[in-house]
Amino acid sequence: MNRFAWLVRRELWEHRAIWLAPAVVLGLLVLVAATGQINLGEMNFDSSQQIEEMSPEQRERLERELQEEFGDEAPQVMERIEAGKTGTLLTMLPQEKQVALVTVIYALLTVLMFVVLGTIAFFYALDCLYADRRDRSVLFWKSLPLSDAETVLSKFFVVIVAIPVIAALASVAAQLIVATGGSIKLALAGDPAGLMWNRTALLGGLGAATLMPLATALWYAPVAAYLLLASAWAPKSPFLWAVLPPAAGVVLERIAFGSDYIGNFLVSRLLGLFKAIADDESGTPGIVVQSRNLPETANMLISRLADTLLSPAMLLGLVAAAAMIAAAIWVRRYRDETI
Amino acid sequence: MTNLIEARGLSKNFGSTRALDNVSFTVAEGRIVGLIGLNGAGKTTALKAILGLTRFDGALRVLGQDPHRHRHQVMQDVCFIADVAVLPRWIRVQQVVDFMAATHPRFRREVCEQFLARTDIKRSSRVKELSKGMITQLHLALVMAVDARLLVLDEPTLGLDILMRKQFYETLLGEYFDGQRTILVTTHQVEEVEHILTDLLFIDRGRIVLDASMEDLQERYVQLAVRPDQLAAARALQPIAERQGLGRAQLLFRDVPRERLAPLGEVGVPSVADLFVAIIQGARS
Repeated sequence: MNRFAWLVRRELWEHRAIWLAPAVVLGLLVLVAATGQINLGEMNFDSSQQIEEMSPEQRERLERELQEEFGDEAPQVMERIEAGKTGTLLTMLPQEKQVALVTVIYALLTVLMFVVLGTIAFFYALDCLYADRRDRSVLFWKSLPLSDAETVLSKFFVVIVAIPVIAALASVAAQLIVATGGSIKLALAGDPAGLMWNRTALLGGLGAATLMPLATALWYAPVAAYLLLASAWAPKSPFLWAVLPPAAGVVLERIAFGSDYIGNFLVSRLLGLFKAIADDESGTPGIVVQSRNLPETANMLISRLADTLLSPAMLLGLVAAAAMIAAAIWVRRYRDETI
Repeated sequence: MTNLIEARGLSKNFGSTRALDNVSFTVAEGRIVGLIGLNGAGKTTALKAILGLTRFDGALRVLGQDPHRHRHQVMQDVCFIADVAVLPRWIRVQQVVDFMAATHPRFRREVCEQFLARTDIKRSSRVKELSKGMITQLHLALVMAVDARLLVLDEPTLGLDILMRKQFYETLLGEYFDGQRTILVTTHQVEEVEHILTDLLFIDRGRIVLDASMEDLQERYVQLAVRPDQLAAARALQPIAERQGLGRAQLLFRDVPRERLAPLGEVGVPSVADLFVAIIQGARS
């Protein structure tokens, strides 16, 4: 193992949350799956008998709920319930929509893992060049023949490569846990369990798990670099040093010029990636949920992602990231360390 | 003999405070040099400059390189203990040994293992779980395992009890120093190191006020316990310092022949602490 790999390993020793947090989330998911808590729309009634015994009001309410849940398919679902078929509501949908919903579940698990690890990445980046200065162990690290460039780059690597890869692996693991738990649930309800292992849905989940790290790493590289710079620079409280200047910029700009360029810039950088993916032409988010045509949706997502990642904003962001990392190395190297 | 450290005209300001004022000195290979000064005298700043941790004016070469620009290259041959509190508290003993072995080209794992085997330090412990004495032993084990040419110690025994302090220097001298290596040490507790030093550097208010080898000092400086009836005669020889001892005045002379002093009382070797006080007071007045 070379030096750089050891430096990265050192980070994972110190910041255990990077692998503990996803492990805990996965553990909870196993618990949820093992106790049969995965909800695929279980029916609260188990035979047509109950429907016949319903009062007109109860029946009306059921139809209304089905209408909300299934839209145009509601009458068909009602028919199947009346015909005495039991099981999960999921399997009563048309095949295409079933697959689409399972895909969405898998994609949302990826989003969940990225929210968890994104939060951890944020605090890691703020802390990693500050913690050793706070407890003076920087003097030990600087007594080793390691360059400051190697040190800073290893921390940047953790934020934009190691954490996204861990998030991707944890996403796939989460998808497999839910697939297992879900198929047991389906089997117990007498429905075809193979639905959870549908190839399109699994591929969709895998696609989300592999595209997300790539997209987020590239898009958020300048944010990560900015946080590392704040961490290297801050005399104390890197969080305030990172957050206050841009916040002050927004407020001052509004007072002085009445404009909002800084604010818009920040919003577009922080949320731009998700806006690009989620907005369809009509401006409603969540096209994945709306669409029934999975391949088309996937194509659209990928092409939008590609557009965003090849946009000038993205490329400028990478240049800015490189500049801020160079600045962080410089600060790390030349700031006076207290003995 | 090669000079491992060469400082010429070293200066450093903190605002209007002059921490180092045109300081020049050299440290030759194989010496054990004590850098002695009061708090704020500039010794820590000098060490920081040597270790490449701070900017400075003037010319400084450590192992032939500018330590500030080439810190990580210089650190291949230089080891450094600031004080024992700087080992990262979260790290496990095994982890820090593995990390050093993997990243330091001159780290000899077997030396470190041998030393650690003689202590009660558990490999699975985190540094924060160790006692202060154990942390010292661990840091010493790590540093001694590095086949370095220069070892810099800045108040290495601060906060340790007297047994541990003694043990620290005994280990250092007995197992590490082999006549080839060079040690630069700063400390308040001069009396603990004076018998191991080969050279002294006194620093006061950013200036070097004494730069001499121990042999030179023993030749040039003489302490005289004067008999009361000879006090006037002794004072006439212009002592650089005088203090009242038990019943007898202790006078410190520089460059006064021993045969002239011997008739006046008991001639002895001054302690480094006494010498330090006398020279600092002399430099300030």
